[in-house]
Amino acid sequence: MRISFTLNGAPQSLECPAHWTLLRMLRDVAGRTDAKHGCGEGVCGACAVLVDGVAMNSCSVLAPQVEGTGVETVAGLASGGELHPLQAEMVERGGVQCGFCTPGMVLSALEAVRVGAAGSDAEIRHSLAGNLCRCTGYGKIVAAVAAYRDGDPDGAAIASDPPGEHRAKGGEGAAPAPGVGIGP
Amino acid sequence: MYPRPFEYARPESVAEALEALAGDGASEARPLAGGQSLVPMMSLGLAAPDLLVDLARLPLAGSEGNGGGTVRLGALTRHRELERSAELAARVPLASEAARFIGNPRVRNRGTLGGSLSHADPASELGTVALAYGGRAVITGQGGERSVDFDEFFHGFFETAVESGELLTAVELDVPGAGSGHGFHEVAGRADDFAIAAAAAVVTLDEAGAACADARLALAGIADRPLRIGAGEDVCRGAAIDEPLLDRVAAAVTEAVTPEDDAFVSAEYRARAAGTCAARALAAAWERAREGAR
Repeated sequence: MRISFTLNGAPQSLECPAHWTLLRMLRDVAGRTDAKHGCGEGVCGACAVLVDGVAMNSCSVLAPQVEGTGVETVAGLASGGELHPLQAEMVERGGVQCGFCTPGMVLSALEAVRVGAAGSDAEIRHSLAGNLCRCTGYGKIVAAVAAYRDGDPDGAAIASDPPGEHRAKGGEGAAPAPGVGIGP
Repeated sequence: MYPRPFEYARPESVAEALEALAGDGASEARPLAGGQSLVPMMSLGLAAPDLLVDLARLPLAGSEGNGGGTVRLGALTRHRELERSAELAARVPLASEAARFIGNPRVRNRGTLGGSLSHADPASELGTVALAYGGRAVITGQGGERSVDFDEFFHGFFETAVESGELLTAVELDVPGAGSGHGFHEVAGRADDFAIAAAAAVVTLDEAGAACADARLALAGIADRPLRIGAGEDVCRGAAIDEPLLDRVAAAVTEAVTPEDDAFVSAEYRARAAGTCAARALAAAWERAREGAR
């Protein structure tokens, strides 16, 4: 079936079987391999993406369910060759080792900070439950998220804003498409 | 693994959804709400419906009622809303507390109250909430609407009173008012794992505020469905809930439940976890009831 949505801000109209998962459509139709296929059953978080600003396991969403939405993958975060501040903190603080969990980890953490669910280390850990990392032991990831929450000059504003307003803060004044805030 | 091919329908109304679900009688049609149990089960080959009827566009997400009394929640209320909405936390605080234990945040972002109850996992947190509050499942079929008391709702492993071709459209919870309190406790292998045991409790004080007039206690993870455990409730009625009484509750619940061994824990461990969860949920419910009474 034909599925229309925006992917990292760019309109898409893809031909995809109705029984494919969002993850499979992203990887095998759209070529967006930054959404990782881990467990395939909603447990590991490697496939997490944002749908209208809300984090979801794309292995547990069917492709037709994103009709008319805005989907963001981690590849949409960097802007003008610069890492998103949360990505930079992950690199800076050693929150990345093999990197397989990182796309889902970053998107889950970004949503947690935006909705105000990352106020303490305990809250960050609660918000990242189900994003499994076998390398770092989590401590450095939690530290990176906390640093992003505290250090980003727009951090406080992001936390209270609805999804979609982030990039507009420092941008050229052009409003992003609904639900697509962090795409280029 | 991936889901097997199926037909996909996205109706705009409950009537259209019921028509699609009625199907031809030969093929299996399943409603799709949040999909956080169904889609993984399809990916694992444990479910292979011929037709999925996506409920996303149905207007079943609102809630009505406030304070004490009955609160009616739309079946498509998401776990995320139960967990994070201050309004719902005030109306159905036990549901709000239990929702934090469901799956992980990505699952809660998408999973729904009606989907979870209809799926009827034996370890369902929201199943214990429905039983501990008490209330009714509002089930809609082509013949109209009927209500089923939650004490009659869960029939067994993944089986409920919702018949083929019907939809659970709303959830009515009988939330007690002043002089009552709620508690929830869960033991799981990991933060986001299925419950080894989970307990939900609601305690209502007597008029003097000194003893428990009524206690409702429901457990998950210990049988083929979420269950009320009357043996634990009976210990509390008419008594002040203190440490010695909680020890008796734990012993009574451990004795009453009959879980089975599985790949992760023994039946004995699960029964003891159930007793501990029950005691801690009731202790929290008692504390909250007493705080409210002061």
